[in-house]
Amino acid sequence: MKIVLSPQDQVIRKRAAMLSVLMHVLLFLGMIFMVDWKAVHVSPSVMEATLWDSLPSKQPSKPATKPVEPTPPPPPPEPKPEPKPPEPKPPEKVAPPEPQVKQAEQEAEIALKKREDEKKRLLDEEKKKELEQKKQEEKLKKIQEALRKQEEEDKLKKIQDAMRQQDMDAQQSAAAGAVDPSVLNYYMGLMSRKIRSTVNSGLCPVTNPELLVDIQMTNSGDISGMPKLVKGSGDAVCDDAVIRAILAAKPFDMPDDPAARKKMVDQIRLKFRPRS
Amino acid sequence: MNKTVTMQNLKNGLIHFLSHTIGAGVLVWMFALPAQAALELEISGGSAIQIPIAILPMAESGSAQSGSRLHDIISNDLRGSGMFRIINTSGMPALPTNAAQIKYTDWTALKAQGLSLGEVQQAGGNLKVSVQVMDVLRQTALLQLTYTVSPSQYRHVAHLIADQIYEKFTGQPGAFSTRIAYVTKVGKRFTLQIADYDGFNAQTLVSSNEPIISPSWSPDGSKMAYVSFEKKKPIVFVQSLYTGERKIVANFKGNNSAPAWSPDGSKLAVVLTYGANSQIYTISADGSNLQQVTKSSAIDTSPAFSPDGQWIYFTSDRGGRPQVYKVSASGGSASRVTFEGSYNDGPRFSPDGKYLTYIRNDGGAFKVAVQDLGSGDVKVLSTGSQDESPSFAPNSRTIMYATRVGGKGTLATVTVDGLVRQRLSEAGGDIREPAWGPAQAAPK
Repeated sequence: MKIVLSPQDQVIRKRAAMLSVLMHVLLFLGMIFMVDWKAVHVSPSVMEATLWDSLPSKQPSKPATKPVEPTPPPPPPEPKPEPKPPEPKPPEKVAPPEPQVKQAEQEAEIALKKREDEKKRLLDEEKKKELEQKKQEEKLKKIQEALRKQEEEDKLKKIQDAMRQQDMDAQQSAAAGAVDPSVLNYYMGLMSRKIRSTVNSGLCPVTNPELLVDIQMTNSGDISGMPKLVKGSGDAVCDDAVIRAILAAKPFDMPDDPAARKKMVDQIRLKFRPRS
Repeated sequence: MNKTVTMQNLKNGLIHFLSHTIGAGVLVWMFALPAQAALELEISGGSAIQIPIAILPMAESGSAQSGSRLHDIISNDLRGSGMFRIINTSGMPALPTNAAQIKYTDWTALKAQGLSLGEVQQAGGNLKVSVQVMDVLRQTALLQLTYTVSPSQYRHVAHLIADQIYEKFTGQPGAFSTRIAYVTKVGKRFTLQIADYDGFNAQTLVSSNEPIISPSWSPDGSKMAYVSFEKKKPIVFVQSLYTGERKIVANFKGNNSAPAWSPDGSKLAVVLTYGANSQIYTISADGSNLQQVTKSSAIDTSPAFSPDGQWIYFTSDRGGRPQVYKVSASGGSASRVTFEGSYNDGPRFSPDGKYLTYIRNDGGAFKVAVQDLGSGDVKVLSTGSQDESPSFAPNSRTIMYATRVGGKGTLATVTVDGLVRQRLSEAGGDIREPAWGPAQAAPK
């Protein structure tokens, strides 16, 4: 069924259509503004939208004879206001519509609709683009986040590895350096007793001088090289007797514990008081 | 969003903080680690008293042997000193005769610190004795000795080698080549004899049917003073060991006894009953210049000069019982030296002046005691019941004394620390009154 509108109604309808178009334009502008505002604060990317009435004609560019001065990019074209619909002529008289007028109206309506659809399509496209960009940004962010996370995890792992290595080193050095004092004391006591049993104190002065002798132990409990007299008694016979006693006392019992053994393989300073 | 960023920032900050802090911590820990002091071991005292040494038999050629093997003599000397432990080498499969053949590990396994080896060769009518003494622990040569002597000096060479070894290890001169004097009684015959320190090679200086007592060496070893009863009373004689010439030094009214040389050999301290009771006098070695040293109503006897010649130590019963006193060599008041025990008699100094030895009545037994003049400590050294006449070796390490075994007198030695005792000789009847000669004894 076809509805036939009166010229008055048609005028009203045209106005309504124009108002609707205006509102859409405003809404569109508002959206652009909002998007632009959001883009400024949320993302550095700027969304630009340009509405074209018609595609610009492609003109072949002339070959440049000299370098062209770079010109600033043209400002985004202002959205052109909608061409005003032709002023409706005041109805002179109410007369039944002409079939040609009806056709023009229909065509205008179709054009309007087409334009609205186009606008809607563009808007949707814009929204889609925006959404996609948002998604891309989020994806990028996620990737960046993942990368940062990975980097942090790597860093953390490195630190953990370093700490683990440090622990292992500490354990190794504990195995090598930290010595159970009771074990060390026991074997040093054995060494002391063995040397003492070979020291002929009768060959040393009754003034009981102090002698210092450095020895370098081997893993097998032997003495590497000759004992070094650091501080003599002042009596050559006494000094000689003490050195001989040290040599006569070797080899010494060594602990099985590697740390204690290592400690004993270090240089040992023997402090003698032969007449005590 | 902001919240996420803030958390992220906090996390990042924490990681950075941790990484820096841990990094710094590791560095501190690493730098703190290495400075660890070397071990120090304190050893007080020493329980070893003897030096282990192996004295190997020497390769001997021709008729070099003279009754006793050289290494045995050296071993006996060193063992008797108390300072050496002689390692038994009888179990060793092959003994080296020169340094190149020594397998040191064999000897360190036996705990040897020294090793003596060498050879004896006949060179014309003499013996050429070559000895090497090795330091087993350092694997170096300590001594390289060569002597050419007549066969009769075979033992003497052994003693000389022992002296060298002793001195090398102890820093003190040995006394194995010194000589001793002692009196023997065989039947009714008394003989004053001079022998090697170990009793071998004895030679008679004087002999009598009357008692001979109190032999005393002059400091240079050229003369011997002694008391002879040959004139039916005790008279002090001095006899030259070179010429045999003898001279009466003290033949005063009453008894003349107990001669003791001053350190410079110019005079003697003697005991005379010239006045009434036994008193100490000094007299020149030629018998002149008699001077009374002690003037007491008690019996003063057994004088001995201190090594510095300033004092005369003697026995006196002025305190009621025999004790050792000292008086200035020029006379004066005497002061008591021994306070332990009820009987201390016959003081003799060690040549180094550190010790005084005398006979102590120890629970009814007469024993050799030694007193450390530095600390005053007294130690009883001998184990007999009728020990007498203690006399120091020239190196002050050993004391010789007379003891009785099986009703007969014999000689024995004991080290000053009392650890080694040795009996010297069983032969030759009743032996008594030993006196150890000085280092520079008269030639044989």
